Amino acid sequence: MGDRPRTLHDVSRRLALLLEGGMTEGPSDAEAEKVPVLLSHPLDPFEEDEALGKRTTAILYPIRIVPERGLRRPGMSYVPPSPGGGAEGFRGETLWVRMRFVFTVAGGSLEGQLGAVEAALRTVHDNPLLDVEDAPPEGAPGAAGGEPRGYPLRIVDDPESWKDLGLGEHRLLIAFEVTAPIESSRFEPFERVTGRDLQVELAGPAHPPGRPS
Amino acid sequence: MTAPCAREAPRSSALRWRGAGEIAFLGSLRFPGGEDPPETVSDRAGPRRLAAGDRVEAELRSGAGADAITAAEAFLDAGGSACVVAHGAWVEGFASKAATPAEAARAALSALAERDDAGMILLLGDSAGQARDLALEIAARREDIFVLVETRGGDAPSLAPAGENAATMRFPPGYGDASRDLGLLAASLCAGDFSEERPFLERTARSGAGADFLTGVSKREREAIRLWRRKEGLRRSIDRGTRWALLEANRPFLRRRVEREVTAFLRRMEDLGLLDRSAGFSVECSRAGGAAESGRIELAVKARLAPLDAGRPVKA
Repeated sequence: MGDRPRTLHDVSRRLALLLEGGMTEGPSDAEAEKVPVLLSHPLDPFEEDEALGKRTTAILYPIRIVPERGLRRPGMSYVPPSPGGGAEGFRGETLWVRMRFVFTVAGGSLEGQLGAVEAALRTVHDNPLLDVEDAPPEGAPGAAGGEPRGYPLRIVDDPESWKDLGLGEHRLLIAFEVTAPIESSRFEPFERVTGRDLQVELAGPAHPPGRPS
Repeated sequence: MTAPCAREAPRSSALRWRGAGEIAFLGSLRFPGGEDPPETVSDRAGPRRLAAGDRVEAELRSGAGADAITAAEAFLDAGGSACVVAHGAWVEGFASKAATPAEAARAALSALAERDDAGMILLLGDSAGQARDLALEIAARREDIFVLVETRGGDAPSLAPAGENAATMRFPPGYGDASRDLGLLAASLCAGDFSEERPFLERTARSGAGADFLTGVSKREREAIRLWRRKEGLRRSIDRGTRWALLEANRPFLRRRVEREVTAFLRRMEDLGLLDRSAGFSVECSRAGGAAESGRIELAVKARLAPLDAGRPVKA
């Protein structure tokens, strides 16, 4: 995969895992059905609805990614040298985006579907920050030592999201948003001026003193 | 976009006319003797700086030698603004007491040359004989210092250039006014120096300052030294005025800023008649080549001096 950007995928995957984990926790009995949370293309699961049969499946769709206006900063910022040998330099400002997900369930009983939706809402409510394991970049919310870290996660109202998914009819959907960083690839190493070479070439007057002009 | 630096770069240009550096007199040094030599912190801290109106203390008079004091007094009486006088207590502070007088004179000369503002060093009396070779060697190595050495011989005083930034002033044996004449020569050179200040512009517009008659110094020789002082003054002004760039971020913005400030300074020098406007000038600031030199910048300036007697506009 090399240097392919992974932030959006990581955030999506982490959210799916968080929701999946939230649906297996709680007061449900041990035999409760485990609800998988699929991160997939919008239309496929509904085409497979019948194939799912009695099994309740949750699907998480990333449907919209827009720049976070309040966090827009042009230009570049200074990056100090890190103790691990990271270079000192100037990095392009991070692009912060709001990533909207739509969550829905398919298959299984109505009780199972509503239970999954409720569990998802509860999980997001209980986790206002989405931890993506790796340390968030400088300036990210919760980056200060000792505080919980992660990217802001919240429930949002999006009644038209079923249309955004390209569905022909309304379905029960709930929406979440995560504010995530896309780090700039621009990096200019910082180099201080350590010396100057001054070359002053001053020619004498056109008619040197003592000579007839 | 900001980066932490040791100190901030100046908000406005630091470029202004700095002149050709300080005038220093090194004469026949005398060292404080006895069990309790009269040492003070100021004596050891450096050569004594004298300005117009300063009183020459007996201590300095004995430590610097009559020749250096006479030259300094003549220099100040003739309108020189300030000078530096080497003296024994200062030299004793860094040269070993076991050193011979010749070694002490050479040490004093080296220390004078190492001063940040060293410009012109005049060697008189004993020191002239003891440190002459070193003085010429320093002149060959340091283009920013002018060395003038007193020598004896001949029938009449005469100035002999010994390179672009060195000269010897020869006086007949027994000639008693050698120190005074050297002080007057230094004052004459200072009086003819370029300056951005209005009194200079008015004075030079009326008559050629620094053109007083001096025994043994032809007009051509004196003007050659005055041209050197202008060249060095300009180089020194650019050097001092761009020092702030050290430790700043070596980025195109910095290099363009240096270019713009130097260009503005040279344009001002053109307006004041120091540079030949018809010849133009060029300023280029770039990264010094090669990966190993990545932290260095190169500032190349090309210009032509205007004739000393060029008409100089006096601005209101």
